[in-house]
Amino acid sequence: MSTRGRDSLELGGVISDVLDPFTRSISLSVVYQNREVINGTNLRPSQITDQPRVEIGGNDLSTFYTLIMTDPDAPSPSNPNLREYLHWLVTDIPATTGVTFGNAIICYESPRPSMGIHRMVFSLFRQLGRETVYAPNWRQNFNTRQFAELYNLGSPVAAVYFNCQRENGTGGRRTG
Amino acid sequence: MRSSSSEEHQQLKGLDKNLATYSSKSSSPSSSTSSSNNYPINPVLINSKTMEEVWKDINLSSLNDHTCSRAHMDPQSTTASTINFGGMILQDLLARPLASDPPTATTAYGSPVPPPPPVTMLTLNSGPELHFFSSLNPLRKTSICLPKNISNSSTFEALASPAAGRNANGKKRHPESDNHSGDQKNKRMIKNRESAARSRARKQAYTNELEQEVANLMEENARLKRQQQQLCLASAGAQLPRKNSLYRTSTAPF
Repeated sequence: MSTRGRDSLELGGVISDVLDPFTRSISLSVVYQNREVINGTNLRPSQITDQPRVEIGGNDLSTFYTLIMTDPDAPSPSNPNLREYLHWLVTDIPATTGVTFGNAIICYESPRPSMGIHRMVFSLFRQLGRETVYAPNWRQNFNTRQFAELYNLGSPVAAVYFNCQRENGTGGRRTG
Repeated sequence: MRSSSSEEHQQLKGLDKNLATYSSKSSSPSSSTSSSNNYPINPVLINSKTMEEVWKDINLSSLNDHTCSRAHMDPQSTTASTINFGGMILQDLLARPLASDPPTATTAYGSPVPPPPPVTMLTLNSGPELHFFSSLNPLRKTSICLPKNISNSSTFEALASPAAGRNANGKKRHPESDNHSGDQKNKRMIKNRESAARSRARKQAYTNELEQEVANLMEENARLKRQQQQLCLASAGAQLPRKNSLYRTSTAPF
């Protein structure tokens, strides 16, 4: 689980824009239509309309985890004034299981970026206890760091991200 | 002319193998390639002077033309090694200005250079020549490199730090307080740069990730192969007794 050489999350800017540096300790597997997501994968909206299969590691069924999926480049990477846009929030996921065993308090919203190439970040946190994490009021301007601090989630235990742009092209340049 | 060219030809051959053979020019015109006069640097210095002149002449006339174009092609190599003369090899330099060289220069290098044999020996990439040039005369080395550096540094810096250069110059060229389009251009440029930086970061991140995946997969592959081998051996060991375990369990009573 240790990273060799440089870290893709850092290179992709995820570590500065969304998360603080952390050490991976739990395995996280995100699969859309049999495509495993590795950092920097490119996926089109048509491939991510439905929620992916997510499986996590760990070894203690009595430890619970929260999965957060956000878009830090909303509405456009050159002007991310909605950073971050919350697409999915699942809590109480027992270790060694998957997202289907958890509680999706913010349901999965299929990303449909209109401008530019967006990063979609999955981050996994360990909860202190069961039912200790609550949903925010809205999806836009979500802040993963602050949310984690608010509900005592600590540092992330795993994260992965992919790139997504609109189905045809990148949405061009915004004038003005 | 011909005889001197053949002498020079010998000189150049000697350059490649043995510095001592330069003594053939200074001492006697008859060929004595295997003269065992192991002179130290001295005979070489006599000829280095003419070579220095040749280099200066060549550089002034042709090097500036080439380095500007070469710098655009490969800016990083120009600063890599001073001996490299802007990525050119010697035969390029010497091939060009031969017709117009002053006579003193040509006696040392001019005539034998166009035909291939001496040129191949004098390509800068070969070791002995490099050491020869560098050890001989450090002053000459810098004098050759100076015009190259002056011509290259401006282009290289322009290429290497376009952001700093252009931002500073951009504002000077387009006074934006009353020029709306200049301001827009500036903003556009900045946005474009950011976009380009994001694109580069994306590419780097993905490449890095792929490399790690490959490394992981190779490790796993090796581990699985080892595992499989061990299983094979184990099963092979278990099979043998079974093959020989066909024994009679009972015999007929008759």
